[in-house]
Amino acid sequence: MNNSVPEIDKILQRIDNVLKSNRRIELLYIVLTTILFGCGIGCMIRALVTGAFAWSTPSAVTTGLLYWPLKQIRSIRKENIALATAPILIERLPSDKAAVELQKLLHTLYGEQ
Amino acid sequence: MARSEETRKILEDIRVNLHIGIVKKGVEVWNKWLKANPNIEPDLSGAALRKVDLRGANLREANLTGADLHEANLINANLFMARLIKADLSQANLRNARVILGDLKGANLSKADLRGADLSDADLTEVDLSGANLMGASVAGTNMKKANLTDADLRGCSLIQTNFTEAMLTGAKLYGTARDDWKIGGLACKYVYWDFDGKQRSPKDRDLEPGEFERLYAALPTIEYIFEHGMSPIDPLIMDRVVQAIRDKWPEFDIKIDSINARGLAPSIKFTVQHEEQKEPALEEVRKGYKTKLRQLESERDRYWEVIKAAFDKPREVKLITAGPGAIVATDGSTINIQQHIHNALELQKAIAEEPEESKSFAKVAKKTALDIIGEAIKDIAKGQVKEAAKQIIELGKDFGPIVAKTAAYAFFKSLI
Repeated sequence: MNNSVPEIDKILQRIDNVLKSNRRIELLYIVLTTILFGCGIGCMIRALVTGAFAWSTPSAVTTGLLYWPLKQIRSIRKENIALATAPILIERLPSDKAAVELQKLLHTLYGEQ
Repeated sequence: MARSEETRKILEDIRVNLHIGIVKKGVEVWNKWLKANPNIEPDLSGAALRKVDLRGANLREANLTGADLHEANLINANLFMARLIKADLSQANLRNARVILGDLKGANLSKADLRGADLSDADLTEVDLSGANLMGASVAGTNMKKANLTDADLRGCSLIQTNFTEAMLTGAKLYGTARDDWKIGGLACKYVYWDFDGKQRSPKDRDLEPGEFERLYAALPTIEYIFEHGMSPIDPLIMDRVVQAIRDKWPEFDIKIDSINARGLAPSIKFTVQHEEQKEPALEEVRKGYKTKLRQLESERDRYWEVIKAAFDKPREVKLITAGPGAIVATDGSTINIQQHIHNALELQKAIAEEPEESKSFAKVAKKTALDIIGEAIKDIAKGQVKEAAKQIIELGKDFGPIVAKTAAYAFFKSLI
């Protein structure tokens, strides 16, 4: 096989590496999301307890900011599923059927190819 | 590499591996699989497919970027819109392959067999085609900028609107190529072969100077005048006069007759001019000039009938000495009966006019030309130049045979010589 097309074993190794790396990044995003959410809740409680409703503003802001980390977590999970599915496709299905399924997977992840 | 990009790359690498696996099962399996799954985008980028047999393979829109297809058999393969960027196709057999709109930037096609292949509108920028055989291939509209075509065989190729800017063409065989509007700016070429066998070096004893090939063979802007009602044998002569007139009036156009196409439903004459912006005014001048010349000819016809009439009615007006009723003294001193001579010539004219146009007798000379010759002869008789007229008629008899030669009038003119 040509050097520019990696062997399946090497590809599987790369999948493992990406999955590991994704796990770390996912954890980071979860921590960030929790902190943002915690800050928002904290500000809300303070606003209710003290009656200083100005404290509810940061709560609204942090809730809005949650959109991006949640989006990233969702994307990582989708990719992880795809990466976990690919080796099964290769091992369990004949190449022609696996190629069709993989095309669908790519389409789901990245839209029109 | 960004996280998402690496995932995508991994999945694409898997796809390539799977596609290689399928293509290696054989063309039949591959084609059948593609037919069953029309949404699949064949991806064989970077694949090592040396000497692979892909005869008649459907590689339409396939990604073969960087693929190694050295000595591969791609006869009759469908590579429509395929991406073959930097692919190695050296010594590959691409006979009759369809590579229309393909992207072959930087590909290596040295010594490849591309006979009869269709590379129309493909991008062959910086492609290596040295020693390749492109006999009868269609390279029309192809971008061959900076391509290496050293010793390439382009005989019978369609090079219409092909871009050879800064390409190398030394040693290329160019017999029978169609080269309308080809672009050869900055082309490097020391010599080529224009003969059928590709053996006679041109120029023979020296190398072409830089830019010389361009000067000699660059396509000039072309205009075409179509004869909607058919072309008569005299039309090219009229057009020659028209071109002369335009050249006198507009020397900067440098208008020239490029080619005459007398066949088909729309016979035409093509002209070249120096610049693109001169096309419109030049065509207008051609149209006007042609109409004017036709009108002039019409008026000359009337004048010629007047001469005949004058010969019948008033022989003195043709400034010849009269020698009795209907007779004059010819320029050679002999006395002739002009009325009788013209009557004989008209008999001949009638015989020709009545002959159908598809007659075999008109194979050599067209009917209109024959009538014109007789007309000229009548003019000569009217002027008293009977022998000249008789000579013209006898020549006509040689071309037309029985139609003219069997007439009593012809025998009469023959007796005069």
